[in-house]
Amino acid sequence: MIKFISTSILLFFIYQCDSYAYPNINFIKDNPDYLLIEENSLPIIDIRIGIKYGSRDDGARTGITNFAIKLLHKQEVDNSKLIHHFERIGAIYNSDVSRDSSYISVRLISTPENIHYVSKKLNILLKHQHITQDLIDDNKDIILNAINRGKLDPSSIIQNKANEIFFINTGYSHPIFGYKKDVKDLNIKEVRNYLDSIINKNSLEINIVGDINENSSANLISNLLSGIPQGKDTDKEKFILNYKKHRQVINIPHKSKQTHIAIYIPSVTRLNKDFYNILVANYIFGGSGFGSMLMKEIREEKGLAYSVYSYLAPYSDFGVLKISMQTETKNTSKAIEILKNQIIRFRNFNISRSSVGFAKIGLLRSFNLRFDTNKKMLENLSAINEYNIPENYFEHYVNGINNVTIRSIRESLNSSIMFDNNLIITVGNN
Amino acid sequence: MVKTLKYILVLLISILISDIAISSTNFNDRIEQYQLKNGLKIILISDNRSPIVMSSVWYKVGSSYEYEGITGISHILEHMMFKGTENTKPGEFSREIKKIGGTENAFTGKDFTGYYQKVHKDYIELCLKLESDRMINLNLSENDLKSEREVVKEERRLRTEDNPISKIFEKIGLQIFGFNGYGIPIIGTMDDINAITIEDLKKWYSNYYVPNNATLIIAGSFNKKETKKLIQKYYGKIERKSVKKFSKKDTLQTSYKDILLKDNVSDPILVLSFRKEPFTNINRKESYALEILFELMDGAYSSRFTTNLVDKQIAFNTFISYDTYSKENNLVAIGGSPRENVSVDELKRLIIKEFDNFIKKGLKDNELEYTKSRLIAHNVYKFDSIFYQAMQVGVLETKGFNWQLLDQYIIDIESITEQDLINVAKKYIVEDYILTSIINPL
Repeated sequence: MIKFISTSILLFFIYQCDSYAYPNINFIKDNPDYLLIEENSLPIIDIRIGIKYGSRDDGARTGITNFAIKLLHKQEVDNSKLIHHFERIGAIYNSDVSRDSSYISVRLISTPENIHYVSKKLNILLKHQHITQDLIDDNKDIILNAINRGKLDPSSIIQNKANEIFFINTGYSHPIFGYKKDVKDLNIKEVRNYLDSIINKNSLEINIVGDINENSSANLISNLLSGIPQGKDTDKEKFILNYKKHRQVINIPHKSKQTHIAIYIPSVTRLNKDFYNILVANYIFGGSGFGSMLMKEIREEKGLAYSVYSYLAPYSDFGVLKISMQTETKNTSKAIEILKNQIIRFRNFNISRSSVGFAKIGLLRSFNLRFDTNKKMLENLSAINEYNIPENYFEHYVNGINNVTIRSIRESLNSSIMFDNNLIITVGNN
Repeated sequence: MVKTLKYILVLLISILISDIAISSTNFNDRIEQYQLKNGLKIILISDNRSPIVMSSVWYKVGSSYEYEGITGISHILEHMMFKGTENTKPGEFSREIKKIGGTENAFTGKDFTGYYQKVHKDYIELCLKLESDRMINLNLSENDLKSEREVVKEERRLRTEDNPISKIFEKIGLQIFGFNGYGIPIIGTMDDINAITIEDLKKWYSNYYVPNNATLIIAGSFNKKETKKLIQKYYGKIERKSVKKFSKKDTLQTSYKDILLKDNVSDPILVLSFRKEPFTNINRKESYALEILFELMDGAYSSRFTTNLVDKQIAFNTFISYDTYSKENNLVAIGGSPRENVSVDELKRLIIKEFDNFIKKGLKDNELEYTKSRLIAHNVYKFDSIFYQAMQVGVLETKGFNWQLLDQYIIDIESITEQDLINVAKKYIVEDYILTSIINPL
């Protein structure tokens, strides 16, 4: 009998471990800025270098972060661009800039030679000693063209306009690509100086996933950072949300069959105490696809849109609850009315206990699906690093969701979501 | 040169080693395949990297099976498959999957319609139960069709009518193939979306949604023995039925007359299209040669289009779009947007010149080795995702090819020579058979 009980306990324990087998995150040589998930069932390594500067830090020269980061791989070394060097060994190089941060990433086949090769090339890239005037001119041409293209794309138009109004007088109000005038006026000295200021050991976070151990990762990082200055801890400017135009509705004329609709509502940041309550609430509202309040009302019952959703955009200084959909232009007013009614329902949150229970279970059980590929693990690892979420992140997440109740959701919606301070923007032939 | 070759060698050796030590980049090591008595083909792909499993059912039906009057019917039926069965209420399938933390969706292509769920491995049975139920018990009601038709029309507006590039690709397909095979738009024409009836959908469903016209692919972490039992339990009881072909030939004559459009674009967009023969096991080397040629021309930052056209400020961007594994005659599209001081005609001339130069002068140093090393490495990267593994296998299977092609891929790619590339360039890049399409800004 005792043997049976102990076996049952053991089996239960194994089942629990397997059900929630989260990846093991290691600090590389005890440095909390360098994280590793060792996953050696495939001969692949993914490296992502996070840079703690995004378009919010552009200052007066909008677009400079994007411009500078998108220039790095184009530097010419030994008669060919750095990106060509990566491509020769089948490695994939990528870079991107968001509002709060930027990154460059490389995926490669895991051999000691490749690891060494890539770390050396990344080191040259980060040192940015090969930026020329021709490179600046060509990059301007490409980026100005992308800005022009965005002016005809309804999803870019709506996002840019909404950000301009909603984030007024903050670093979040301008497009990541910047404004045309600022990009045109950029010069080589300015770009070099800016890169000097944002690329240093203090501003870089390194995340590695794949077929590599801690020692090799440490060597890789050592090569990669060789000669990169230490830098200083700088306090970044904190922005506050200045938007106070209650329930403003703005239309931007655009020749199209559909009208795009976006609604912005002030919400919470990732580290706010109410985050998990809002996360569960948003899952029910519009964050979980079919069956969510928005999807049910707008798509499943009324057939008004192919896609409608809400999501929490947690920037470092403030959060926003964003709602997005597109509908045939003649249905715009009807759709906005339904969205407004759904927002009222969401705000009142007369949702059954079982719906909240299912949402919590759904979120917890779907957690595993966020770690089923190296690529996803790297994305999560980078977020954990960027938000400085402690190493017991998984435990925090599970506890955070488990502690959510209808009451706590209602309190958070009441205290942390500024429902009356919303912005509604439409882009279309209205 | 020596250094580069060394890296390629190391890359190939590492893949070889991984096959032996990790056994992870070869489908043959992962797949078990069999068939139920009712004709349902089962493919089990084992991958235990995470406790996740993906269950997917692929039906051999898509837009290339359609004809004028009912274009888009496969896609509408895909939407209607979420409207409930004799045993489940509308939306219940999705809700059940959501409750267990899973994700699910569906897709329609030219040759297939597929449905999948990705869940924790403990819930595989629920997926098999629900998916097998909607293979035979789907409820198709006028009321559901009424609202879903509007959703599909919104999807068409979003993806095609407000999207200049999709719009021109639809026109190109119809001009070259008419309402035949790959010329038929997957989403269907607006007229046909409006006209399709519930009776049309019932006919489509009862004809094509049968086990002997389907493939069940399970990929990820699962207990093989238990899963086989469950498959038999839920799918084994469904009866085999004969499958008819409904397609009607459109007699439209192919035309290579230029297509000129004005639309919401900031710069002109040039698209040069030509026909590609279907993929077969016999001509597969030619298809792979074409794939390498296109990779060499436009597959990377170091490819010829980027270095000779984009970096030299002729074009803002370039593209080549093609499907190696096409079951029927298909289109290859090559194009881009010229920079401000370059005309569309000039860009066209320079794109064709790139191929002419290749035919006359052949490869540059290491160009073929670099291109192959990219394709080979990318082939390994695909194994990162169970979704992508199932997609690769499913696409080939429903097109009537065999997943074993995937394991043969690297060997085939390695066997392609410079002369093979020159031969396909000569065969396909023939100006008289290129359709030129241009979108100009309004």
